[in-house]
Amino acid sequence: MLSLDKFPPGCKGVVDSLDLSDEAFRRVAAFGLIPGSHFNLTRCAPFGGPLVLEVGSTRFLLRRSLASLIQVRVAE
Amino acid sequence: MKRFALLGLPNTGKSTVFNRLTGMSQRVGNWPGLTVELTSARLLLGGKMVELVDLPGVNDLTGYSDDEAVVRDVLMSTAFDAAILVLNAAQLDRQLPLALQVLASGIPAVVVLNMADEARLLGITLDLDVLRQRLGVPVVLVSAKRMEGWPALMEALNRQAASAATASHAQLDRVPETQDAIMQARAKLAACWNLPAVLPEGMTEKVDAWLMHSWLGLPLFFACMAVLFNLTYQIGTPLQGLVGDGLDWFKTAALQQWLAPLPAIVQSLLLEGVWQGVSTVLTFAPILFVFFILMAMVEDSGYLARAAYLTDAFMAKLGLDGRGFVMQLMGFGCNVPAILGTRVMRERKQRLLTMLIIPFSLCSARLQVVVFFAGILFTPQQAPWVLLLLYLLSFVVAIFTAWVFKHRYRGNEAFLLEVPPYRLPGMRHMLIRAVAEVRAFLELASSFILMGVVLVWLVSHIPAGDNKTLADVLGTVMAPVLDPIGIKHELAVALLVGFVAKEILLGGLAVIYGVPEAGLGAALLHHLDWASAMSFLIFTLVYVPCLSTVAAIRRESKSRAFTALSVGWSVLLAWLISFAFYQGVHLLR
Repeated sequence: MLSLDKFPPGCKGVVDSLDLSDEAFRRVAAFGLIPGSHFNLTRCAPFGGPLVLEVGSTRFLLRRSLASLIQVRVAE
Repeated sequence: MKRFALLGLPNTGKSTVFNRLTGMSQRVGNWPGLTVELTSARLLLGGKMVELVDLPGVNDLTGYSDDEAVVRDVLMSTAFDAAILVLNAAQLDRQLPLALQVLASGIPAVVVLNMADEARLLGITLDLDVLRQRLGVPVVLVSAKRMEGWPALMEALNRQAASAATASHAQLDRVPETQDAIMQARAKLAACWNLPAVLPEGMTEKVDAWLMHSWLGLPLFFACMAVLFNLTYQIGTPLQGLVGDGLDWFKTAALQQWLAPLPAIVQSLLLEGVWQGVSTVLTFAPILFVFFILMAMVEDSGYLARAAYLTDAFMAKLGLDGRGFVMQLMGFGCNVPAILGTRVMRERKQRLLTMLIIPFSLCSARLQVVVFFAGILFTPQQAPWVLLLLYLLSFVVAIFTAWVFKHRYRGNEAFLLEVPPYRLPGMRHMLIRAVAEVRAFLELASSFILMGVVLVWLVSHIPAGDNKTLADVLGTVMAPVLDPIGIKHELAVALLVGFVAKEILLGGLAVIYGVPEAGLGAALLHHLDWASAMSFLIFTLVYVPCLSTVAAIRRESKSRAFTALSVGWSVLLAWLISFAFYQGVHLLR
């Protein structure tokens, strides 16, 4: 298990847990990121910029600071 | 009259559906009882007149964002006959929860699955009949961009409008929480909506390989912005010139003759006051129109999200997000559309912080003043460097402002933004939007700017004894503030004129020194020493760009206190920087 900001780009993973406030959780959940959901980390912006994630057919960006609060594992 | 609400997540083509249904008849207005502006339009459905209200795009009916609160407030305060729910057919897994929340609230709904074309390209399979059965409401599959599936949509809407049921308020206490809604949505979609295990790689991935490239992305972004920027002014400035010429022609050919019988003082008020105000506002229209078309292209094509991706690392440190950077850059052309453009940011604090820094972007009107001053104060070799330094100054002041206020207007760290597939923006959609935006701005700015121009006229024309006007008195009164920064008393009124619009500042200076504009350079050199001229220039750069910008900030922030803060802060900063410069020069001498 590792946090999403340490996840290798180009790999697929599964969300384990989200250590977020109620408000942040709703925002993240609206993009389909909830425990058990599969994702694909497509790219990371340079200089500590945001990550681009794919959940289902939805692609979105989120900041590393937020990603560090999301625990994930590599999908088998 | 019946009333329908148009609801959906952001980026689902909701406003395209709205435009397709209503055309040019839409109007933006304050919603009764609430301090929000909503777009609405009337249309005939099922033989009844229906008012269709476009509500802001939201993710979740139970969420905490400003837009989510607005939607809840509107749904609670107003009875609706039906909700038209627009969802992206390719993303039902994350969009159906909102639909289930709306259905649970008890408002009759028609579910519109938009972007049928994109879902098809992705190889998504959908059993419409099963979904219809499970949801218990009409469900239609359309592509608003291509008008696909339109007859079925119109039939569903007509039937809804013809129903005899009375309008009802949403019962928000019945709405399921986010997680419950997600679970319910999963069950509803099981075996009737399927995403292929591997999504086909399309155009978007190929283009993104370049535009989101780790080190090519940023240069390409700046190239895109340069093109955008140039287009705005290549197209907008000649149009602005045409409008200006037309207005001048009207003034000399018609207005002056009509007003000739009136006493001179009334003529002056009407021509130099009222008419000046009207033409200042009107010359903004072409540039705003072009800007909104181009901005809609950037937004609708999906590039704005890429720009945010590329610049977010830097902007996050300033408490801003990547979209703010695009607006800040646009501000270098004209602050007014940049302020209006912050609307793409849906979070209020982020918007306010962005609006606070945009006025420091050295806009094209201020550039005129800078180029003129640099030309008379420096050699042709030095002038470009001075110009560059002043651009840098404007960046530094903006960054400093963001740094000072970032805690007060702290944005949410939970910044998520959809990175949609690239889409061709619809021409008709862009035109409708640009016309509506320009009209809404003119309605507000006209009264605001008119007041300002008339005020300046009064100050410079009302006699205050001893052959002096209020303007002279103003200079004397302001002396304790102006002397430390080396600005001559007679220039107090020039600063007031510059407050209205920088475009008329040089003309104002010429009037003050009683010379034609061609002789202004020599006059300034004669009356001002180098240090006080530079101090005046720095002050001009940093303080309030123009009344139109103030009007735009007032309109977008809907807060007098914030508008006052923006004006006050920029004047204070301008004074401090001019003070440091002028006193510094004197210490060195």
